[in-house]
Amino acid sequence: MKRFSMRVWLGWFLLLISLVLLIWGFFPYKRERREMRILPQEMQLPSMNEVVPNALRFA
Amino acid sequence: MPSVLPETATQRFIRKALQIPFLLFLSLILVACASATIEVPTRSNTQTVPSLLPSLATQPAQIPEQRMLILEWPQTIRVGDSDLISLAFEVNPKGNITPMASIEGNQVQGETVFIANLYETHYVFAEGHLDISGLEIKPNSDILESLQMGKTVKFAWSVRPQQAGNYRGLVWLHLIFKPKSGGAEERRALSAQRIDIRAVNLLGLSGNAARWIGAIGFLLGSWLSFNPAAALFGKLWERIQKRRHTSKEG
Repeated sequence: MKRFSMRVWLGWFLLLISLVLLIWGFFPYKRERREMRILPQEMQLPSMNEVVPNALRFA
Repeated sequence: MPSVLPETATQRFIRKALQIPFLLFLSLILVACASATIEVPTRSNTQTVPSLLPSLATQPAQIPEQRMLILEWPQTIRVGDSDLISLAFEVNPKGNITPMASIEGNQVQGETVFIANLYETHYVFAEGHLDISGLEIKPNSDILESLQMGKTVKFAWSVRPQQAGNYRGLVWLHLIFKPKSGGAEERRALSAQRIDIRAVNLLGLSGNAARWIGAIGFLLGSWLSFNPAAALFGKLWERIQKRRHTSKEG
């Protein structure tokens, strides 16, 4: 009976450890989401002010 | 005890002569204070926006739609597992390109101006680029997608960490304008967003290893614990049945 209960305890311990590993392995992590509004004014051809640095423009 | 002498005519004249400049000086101070009071402008229902409307009226060619840039990424990834970082460049259905301004509840609507459509004169491309070191990225190169009016463009990268740690990167989105008539293309950086990803392990085990060990351990643990337990309950059930049987016979 003593050997029998030892085997059961070992089985339960293994089950517990395995469950922890499985939960950690399959746990879905949170995903971040960031939204940004883009205006038409930001989607236009780059102007000279944006392309050429100040030092060059006024040289 | 000092005696009070009566004021002579000369003394009276001098006293009055001194009073007149003093009164003049006092009146000057009062006038100056009155003119220096700050005038609080009265709030009217209509307000004009002199700087906004002219700038809208003289706008160069642009993409005539409002869009939303939606970035999604995993905060945490298990070591050895892969996950997706996605960037969607969607059309905003509530986007309004009529130049309007609203100030404290008072709405000012400007004239509808003609804004040249860039889609008509240029081929427009959206280029996505993920810049992050220490992670395995697929695809590793830039992703180029054609941008069309009213169409959503999506980019996705698969990332896989090989070691635990914190990884920081940048997700870039460029717009590329190529004239239909020919000529050099022009690029515009639309956004560069920072992302932070944490790669974790469990006692040095990667995600895959933990799942395999967990599955094998679960089977082994079930066999060890449930087989004897079932046998024990089976024996107990047999004893109960026997007792019932004997009690019925008796």
